[in-house]
Amino acid sequence: MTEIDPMLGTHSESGHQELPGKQLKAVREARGLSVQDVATRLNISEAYVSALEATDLSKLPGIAFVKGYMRAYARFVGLSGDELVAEIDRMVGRETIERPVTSINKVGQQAKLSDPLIRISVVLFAAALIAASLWWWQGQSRAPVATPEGVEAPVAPESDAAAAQEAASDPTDIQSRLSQRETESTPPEVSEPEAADEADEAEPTYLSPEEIERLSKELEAEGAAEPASAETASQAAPEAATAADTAERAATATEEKRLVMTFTDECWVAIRDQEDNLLYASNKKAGESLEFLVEEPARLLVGRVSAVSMAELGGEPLDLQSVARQNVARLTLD
Amino acid sequence: MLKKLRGVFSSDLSIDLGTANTLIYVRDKDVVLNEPSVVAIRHIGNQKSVVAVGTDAKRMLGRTPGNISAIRPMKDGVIADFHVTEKMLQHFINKVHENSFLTPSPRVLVCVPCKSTQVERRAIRESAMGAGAREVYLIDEPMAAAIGAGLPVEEASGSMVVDVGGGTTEIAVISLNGIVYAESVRVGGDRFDESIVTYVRRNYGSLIGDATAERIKQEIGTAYPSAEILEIDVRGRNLAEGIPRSFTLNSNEIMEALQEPLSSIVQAVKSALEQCPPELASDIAESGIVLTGGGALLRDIDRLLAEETGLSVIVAEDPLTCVARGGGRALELIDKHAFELLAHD
Repeated sequence: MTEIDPMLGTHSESGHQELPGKQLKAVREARGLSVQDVATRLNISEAYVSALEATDLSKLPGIAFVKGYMRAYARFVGLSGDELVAEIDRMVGRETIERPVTSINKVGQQAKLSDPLIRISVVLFAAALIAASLWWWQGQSRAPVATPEGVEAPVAPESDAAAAQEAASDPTDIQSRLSQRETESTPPEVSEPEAADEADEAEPTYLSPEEIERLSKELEAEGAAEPASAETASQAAPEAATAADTAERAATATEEKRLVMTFTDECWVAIRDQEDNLLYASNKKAGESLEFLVEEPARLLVGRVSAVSMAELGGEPLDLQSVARQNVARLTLD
Repeated sequence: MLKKLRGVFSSDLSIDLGTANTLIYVRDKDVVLNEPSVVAIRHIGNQKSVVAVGTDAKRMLGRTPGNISAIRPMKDGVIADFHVTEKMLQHFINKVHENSFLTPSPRVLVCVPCKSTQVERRAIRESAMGAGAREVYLIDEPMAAAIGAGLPVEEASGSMVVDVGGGTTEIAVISLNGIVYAESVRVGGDRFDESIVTYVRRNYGSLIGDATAERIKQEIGTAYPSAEILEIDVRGRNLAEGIPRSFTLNSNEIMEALQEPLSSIVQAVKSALEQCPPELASDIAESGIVLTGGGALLRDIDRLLAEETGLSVIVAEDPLTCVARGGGRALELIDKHAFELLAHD
């Protein structure tokens, strides 16, 4: 009992430092009742009454009974049973009192999926998953479109460089615009021979070699003064510099350059002039070779660079590998 | 590990499916729900829909228009209306899992009267299953009450518990985790209310409702004469005049009104003591009888039993929730192989 006293000392709101049993005994004696009176009234043995008054729990049947007896005794002598029972609870560690303290809102926490935090994170995760799959799907469908852009990229600076050399802005503009148009009209799977055939069919300005010969002769006859359209010519005319440039270009163009290529495998080759007119197009087989007279600046498309064993322009080797993108080379011949 | 995984989705519950009140104890927590076992149902043609359950429905009891009926689906401790009980249990289980993401599917332990028949037990099991329970365990009500009251049920000494519920009074002698003797009388809080209604009609010529009778019982009801006389003003419809009249009742009158149901309880306790094996009877004589259930809150009912039996009678701590708490304690012991606590079909 000695170790219980300090605990009771901490609870001094009611003022009395006595054990609950002592309070009962004091009240009983004040009322002139004997232990036997209480025992008879409560229907318990006198030994139990004495044990209650001594607050000796070891001699009493169990904590539930102790509390019950305590309440009955307290009611008999006119005390508050609740206060005495509360002190008993403090003595035994109030294991029965602590249970009701657990609050109801913990129920929600136990059902862990019901946690709002978890719910939000689940929703966010689902949204992220959907967004990721959408992004991936869009990326998949956009991927082939991206290929020609990549191929077109090196062409543009090249034409820019040409523009810088010639110091003529207008034809270059047209040239880049035309090259853009070409890339737009070029089917994505240029390297594929089948696709090339398709392009062949889709191309309304397809020219047979005979026609190309005829056209090249006409062009030869007309001279090199008309690389651009009538529009560019009219723009170029008032400017002296442009005129000089045109003359210079005409000089270079008149020097016919022979394009020679030999193939080790099937390869699509197309040559267009600055206005996007097809000058030459053919699907070369393995072992075949190509000879073409380049009379004016023209754009060459080789659908399968790896199938080209040799390429020469005017006797100088043509470096297709360095300009090739995904085995497709586009370059301007001049 | 598996246990934890299962526990993630719903909490194990112990349900005291009483005639008057349903209490739910959540495992490792405490009693979280205590609501009247009342369901209000709206009839639209052949369609039935639940309007309210619990406290809200109880307020409607006796005050409903034609298309709504407030039903107490439990009668005498067992199911009287299967489907309504199922709906009520479903509502309560969902309410306990208020924030749940998924439909809760808890393990449920339900208390059943010890003298209930196999059919009645099956009905309770089925309705709990229908309400979404994953597993249903049944436990005898007095066993749960004894555990909840903190009696040493596992010891080789007899303890007697008297659980005065809404519909039944269960009396049991328990030793070594088992019920040695059990008796169930269909007398409880509802019978007290009926007796009060009958008494008022006979002596005052006035009709009062069940809700009023319950209020009278709770405020001034007493089981044993005492020096202190309490009074209450009530209003009822005068049968002769047909007009509502006000009159005053006192606690002695109510005691008189309650004599008949109380004497049934006293008789049942006495017969239980008679039937009890002598060793256990001596244990009970030494420690006493423990009262649980809402009926234990009736003023001086312990005094009455003490006088009638000559034994010490004590009221358990928080007698209303004893059964639910005891069931919860048994639920915690299920995993520790304490299956002998459970009742069998």
